Amino acid sequence: MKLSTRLGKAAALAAAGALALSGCTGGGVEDASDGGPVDLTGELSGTVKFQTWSLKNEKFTPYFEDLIAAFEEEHPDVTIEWIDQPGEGYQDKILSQAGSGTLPDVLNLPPDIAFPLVQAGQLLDLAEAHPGLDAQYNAGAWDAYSRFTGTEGTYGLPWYLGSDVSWWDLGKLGPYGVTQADLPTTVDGWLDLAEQVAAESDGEVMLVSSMPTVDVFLANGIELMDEDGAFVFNTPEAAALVQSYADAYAAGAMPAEALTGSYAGNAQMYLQGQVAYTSGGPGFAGDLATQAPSLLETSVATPRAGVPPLYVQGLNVASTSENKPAALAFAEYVTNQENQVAFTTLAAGFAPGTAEGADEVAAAVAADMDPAQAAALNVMFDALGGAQAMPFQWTSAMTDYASQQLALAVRGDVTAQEALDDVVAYANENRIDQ
Amino acid sequence: MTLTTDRPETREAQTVRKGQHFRRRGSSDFTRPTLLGLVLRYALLIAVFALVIGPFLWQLSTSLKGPADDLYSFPPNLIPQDPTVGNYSTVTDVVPVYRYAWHSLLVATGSVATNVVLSVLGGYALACMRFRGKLIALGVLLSTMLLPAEVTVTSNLLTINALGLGNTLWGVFLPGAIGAMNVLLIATACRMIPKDVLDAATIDGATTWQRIRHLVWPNVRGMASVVAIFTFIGAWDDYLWPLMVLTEPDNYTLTVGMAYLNSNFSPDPRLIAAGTMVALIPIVVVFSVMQRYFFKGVQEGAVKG
Amino acid sequence: MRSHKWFTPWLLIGPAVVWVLVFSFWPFINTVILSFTDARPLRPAEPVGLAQYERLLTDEQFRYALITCLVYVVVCVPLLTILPLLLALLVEKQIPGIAFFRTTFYFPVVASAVVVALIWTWVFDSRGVLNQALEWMGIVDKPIAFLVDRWWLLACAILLTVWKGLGFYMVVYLAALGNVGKELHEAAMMDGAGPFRRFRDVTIPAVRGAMLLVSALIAVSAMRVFTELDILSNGTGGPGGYDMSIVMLIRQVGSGLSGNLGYAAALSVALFLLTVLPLAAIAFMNREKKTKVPA
Repeated sequence: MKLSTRLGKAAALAAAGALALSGCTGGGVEDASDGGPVDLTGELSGTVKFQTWSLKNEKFTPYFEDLIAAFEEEHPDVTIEWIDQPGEGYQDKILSQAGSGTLPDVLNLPPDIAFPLVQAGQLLDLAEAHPGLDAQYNAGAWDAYSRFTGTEGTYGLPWYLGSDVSWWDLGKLGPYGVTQADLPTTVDGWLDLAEQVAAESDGEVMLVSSMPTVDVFLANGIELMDEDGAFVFNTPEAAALVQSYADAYAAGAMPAEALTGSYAGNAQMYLQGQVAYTSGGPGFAGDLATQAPSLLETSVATPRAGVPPLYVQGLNVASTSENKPAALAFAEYVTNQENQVAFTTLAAGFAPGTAEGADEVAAAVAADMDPAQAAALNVMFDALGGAQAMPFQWTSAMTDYASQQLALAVRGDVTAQEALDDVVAYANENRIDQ
Repeated sequence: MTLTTDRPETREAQTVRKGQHFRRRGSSDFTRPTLLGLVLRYALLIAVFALVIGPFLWQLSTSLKGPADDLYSFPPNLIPQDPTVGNYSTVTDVVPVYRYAWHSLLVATGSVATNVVLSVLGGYALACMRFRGKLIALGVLLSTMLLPAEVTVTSNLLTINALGLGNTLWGVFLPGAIGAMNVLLIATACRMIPKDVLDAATIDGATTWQRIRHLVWPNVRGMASVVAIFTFIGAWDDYLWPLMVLTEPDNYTLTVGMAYLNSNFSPDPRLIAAGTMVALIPIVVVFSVMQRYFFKGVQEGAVKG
Repeated sequence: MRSHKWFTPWLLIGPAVVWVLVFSFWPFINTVILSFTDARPLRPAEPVGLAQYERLLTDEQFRYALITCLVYVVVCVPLLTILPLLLALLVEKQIPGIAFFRTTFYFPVVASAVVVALIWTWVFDSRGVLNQALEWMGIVDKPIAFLVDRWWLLACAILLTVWKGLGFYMVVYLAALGNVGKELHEAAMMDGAGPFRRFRDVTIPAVRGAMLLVSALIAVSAMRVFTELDILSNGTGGPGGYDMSIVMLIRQVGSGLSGNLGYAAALSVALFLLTVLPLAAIAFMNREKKTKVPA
């Protein structure tokens, strides 16, 4: 979603490990068992702390201020205290809040960050607290908060959703006879085109700037885990896929630096004009507009090959909250269809996490949006139904290890199968759900 | 040796009086370079300058680029095609830069004060006094310098919260109030003070405090300014720790506040560059002021009276 | 000669020692305890004895990280002990404009990591400035992929470390050089000593203490290298993770809400013990020659 995240991550995650030291490790919560339905019928009162992630800025502050004012008008005895955390160091912050028992009443956590908190009993089971909510939300996103190992229930209300589309720079591809109509729609087609264009342009135009990742396996329908949660993606199909990347690399269709590319590295290379293809959200059009305006004119978006990824953000309620009724009511209020549509209309490039409403957003933003971005948005909204989220069991350490080993395979130092076997072995040794 | 020198002429004085920076052939003043040496010196200076200035040129140019400029063209384009200073005013609108800068300044200045004072006291004891347990004290200081800093964050957060200083600038300041490295830096400088001078002062009946004030301080002032610079920049640039301690945006320091520019939704690197340039100014000022003191200690001829 | 009450030294050094004990030593004890458990964030930890340390001995990633760090120490210590001293001598003289140069030479120390990353990537990229220059001069006919090769990447990172460290250690030397008496230089000049001999016989002995301190600081920070390798390898540690340093490895295994804290703690303890080695070596060298140094 954002280019600087990975760079910042390095510094910010530093202390995450340390944060669980001493007192934090035993972070059991006394009243965590305090589940069951929450009574929403009475008059709501008290203070609710509401924590967002990197949303307090000139763009979104007015939206939240209005939202809070409207809620407080409806419930005069409730005061909402809005706090926002900067983008970097968020996991550390959450960890320190959870460790010291000071989680805000309502907070924004994607599923993978929510999982350890669910395990520690720090989040409220919302399906139990208010039965019947699920019909209002996007099914895939609701699932992402409902499938945590070792526990029943749903621990987040889907808030806003993202996905990726494919971005092509026709300005670079045009001279080699590639038009929007014959852009490839499969991973293999893309890699073949990459080799062909690289050969014709004598290495000038490159189309591959990312490593094969687990997302790519997921997109190609390769089973990541078996029923017991063990990783099993070291299959011949996956190996063949990795081998096609290696072939593309050998053919000069990939800048050498892509071997150490990070999650957003391919988008960065596209912005620099080094490659003519990248994956990115519809919001990437905004990055192009601000950072490389001349590229925006020649860029087009097409659906991602295979199953598109699903990025989920949601609102959660802390089980330690002393004011659960008001907290739950506010979380539902923020994530209701009307407010979500308003929010994602503002947050161009994202879809509401409700069951309906994407059309309204598309209609609302189409008027004053750059055509390229509007087109990309439609592509994404169309694909969202079949999108699939990464399993929460896949940790950042596994991502790092996988990219290191698969880079060796792409470079040709080891075979694809050897690299995949190593990655799967590592992932199974470091499972977090046992 | 430094203490016994009380030269009538300082280098600065010479330069000012004669207004000529190099030595003529046959001149008897050996301390000034020859013309050729001077040219060579400037050539080297400019070469190193070219090596170090790159990132700042790029940052400056980015902060001056307008919306129509490509930022990441390859190779980089240093001259903005669509120049503007608007980014600088925008950045102050988005985050309360001055309030945050004031917080950072408070923490950084406080850290400088405690670090300089405490490390001069400690460094002197370590270098010039004999006492029981000295090795233990030295061992404690040395060993903690080797610890990866990352492991201290949580434990310190618990300590600070237990002291009731969470979400305060005091909490940000406290763990950095004295650094082991600074004590060792000053101790190194203290070892340069000849033993007989200190002994002589003792015979004259100077108390420990008088010795520190009139003998030690003038001699370690250069190193103390190094400590001051390191501490100031360390405190000014720290991100993770203030982020952990401070919970309310009202109390943020500059680095944490600046992170707001980096919003999740298409951050504008031009704004970030402008903000970073603003944040750099105090560091440059502190450094330019401090670097003059490196030489003062010698030139004043340390021992007075 | 004893000229003070027995407790005076402790009054002076006490605050520093207490501070360090509370804010550095105590967290370290916690880390040691953690390294004997299977701790993860927000979960009760079970003691696992020496299991984490056993894993360390067989961990291939740790072996690579160790080699990376040792190479770093061996290369960086001599480079960064000598070069900043030369730089300090260069800017020491009070000539017009020198304050400007001194200040700018310190800039790399305070440069933001993100910008430094961008700039140096442009230099080392396979289509970057350096490769273009090499091709133009006809030294290579195909660009060298500096940033994805184990040893080239390490060399580039070391270059970056030196670039960032020059100004930092220059400052330490400047302060130390303030103590070198000018009359010694003059006397040596009268004796007909050339610049090299004066450097060897006057400057070096005078800044000996500072040199030892600087090399100790470099050894410690080289063992704990992180930023440079992280920046140039985009956080990945290069293909295969061959260029990860120990601190990078600690962060990879221990970071996030599902990090393996027990193993990260064991790695931290190992790093601590490994850092003591080069320091002990430097301390030993210091002891040997102590008698020759008047100060």
